[in-house]
Amino acid sequence: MNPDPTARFNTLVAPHLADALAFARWITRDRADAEDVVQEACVRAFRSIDRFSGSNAKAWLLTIVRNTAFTWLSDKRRLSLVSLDDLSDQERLEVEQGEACERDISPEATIIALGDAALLEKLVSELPIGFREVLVLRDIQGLEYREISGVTGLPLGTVMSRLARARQKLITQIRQERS
Amino acid sequence: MPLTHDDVLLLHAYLDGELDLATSLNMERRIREDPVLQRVASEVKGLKLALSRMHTDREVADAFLSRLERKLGIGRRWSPPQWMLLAASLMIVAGISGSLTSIAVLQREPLSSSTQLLDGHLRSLMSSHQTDVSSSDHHTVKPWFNGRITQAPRVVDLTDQGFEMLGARIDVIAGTPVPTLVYRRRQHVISLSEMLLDKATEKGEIQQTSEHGYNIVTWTEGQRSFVAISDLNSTELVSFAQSFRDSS
Repeated sequence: MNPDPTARFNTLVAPHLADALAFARWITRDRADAEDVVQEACVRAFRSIDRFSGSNAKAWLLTIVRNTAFTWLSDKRRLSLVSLDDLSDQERLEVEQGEACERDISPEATIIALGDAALLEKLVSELPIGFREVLVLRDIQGLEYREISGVTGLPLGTVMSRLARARQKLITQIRQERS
Repeated sequence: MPLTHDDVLLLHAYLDGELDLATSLNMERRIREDPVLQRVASEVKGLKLALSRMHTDREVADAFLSRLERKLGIGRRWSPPQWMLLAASLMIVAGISGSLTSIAVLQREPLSSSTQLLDGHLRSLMSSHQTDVSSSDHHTVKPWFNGRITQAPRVVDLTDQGFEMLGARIDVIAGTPVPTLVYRRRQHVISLSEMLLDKATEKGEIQQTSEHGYNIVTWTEGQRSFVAISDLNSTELVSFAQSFRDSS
């Protein structure tokens, strides 16, 4: 591997900067804050770049961005807004599913409703952070489950459960917006 | 019958392409037979599609870059001098030379071609110049190649499969111009290059590998071989390759 950190930065970090910014925006919900977070994350990444030996630079960078963002949020005391109840992974999904099939709304109607991008963006940004990060990493950043588990430090089962619940919440809310 | 917690998790994992073949086939059958699963699957699919189409800003502001460069104490990374591009590509050679040797496309120029394709992909990502012709219309892109290269590359519209065409460019591999189509899935750019082989081959299996976070899939078909490079996850990149390959 090339020992020059600048060259390594160019190959490992630079191509993923846009993803890092987009991810940070979804977490902080603010463009300027996201830039601050990514800048701080890049400083950390640059410092530890010699120790990076893996093959997945994007997941590595997103992990640093995620940790930096969470530190940053808790410094600003914004994380306290997340209620523990929201993050209980044991909540049963079948109840929500049961409600879903009683009301007779066609899937096509839901898909049409989802064409409203502004609404969708608002609903995603209002998801509790624990759900939002998993949903964004999968459905917007396109990471695989085990990569999301690596980035967030959550067990695979928790990743799966939060992803399913995040999507279910969105579908339920879209249905409510329409009724 | 109400769905259990595990059913729901399996359904999502199935729609995300995360299940092994046997579990996946089993899920497919259950979705066919169970109207509740069918409805939920259709809703989740619709949501995933809408999320993937949602516009995400890909702009890295110049002011931010300058600030970052000052902070890190590094030079003008975004207009890198020639030696720096060379250094970057040499690193990639060192990285991929071990794993790409077996790929069918490389019959002619075993290492340098894939290296240069990856290099071309990276360089296009770092600049704003990802395509020489920008169009989402394959009727515009295909004729653009006329007169620029001797081969008539296959151009396929994959919008319905969720891959938007951004345009095309010509990469030069071992002194030969190679047509490269540029697609996008969410914000992930896919470079798809088509190379002519010395002799015809059977329609080959899709092979995949990855280096430095970039997934690479290749396949051959008649006298053509295709290489797709992206930071898109491997499952979706393979599905891109399948859609493209099976479109003829």
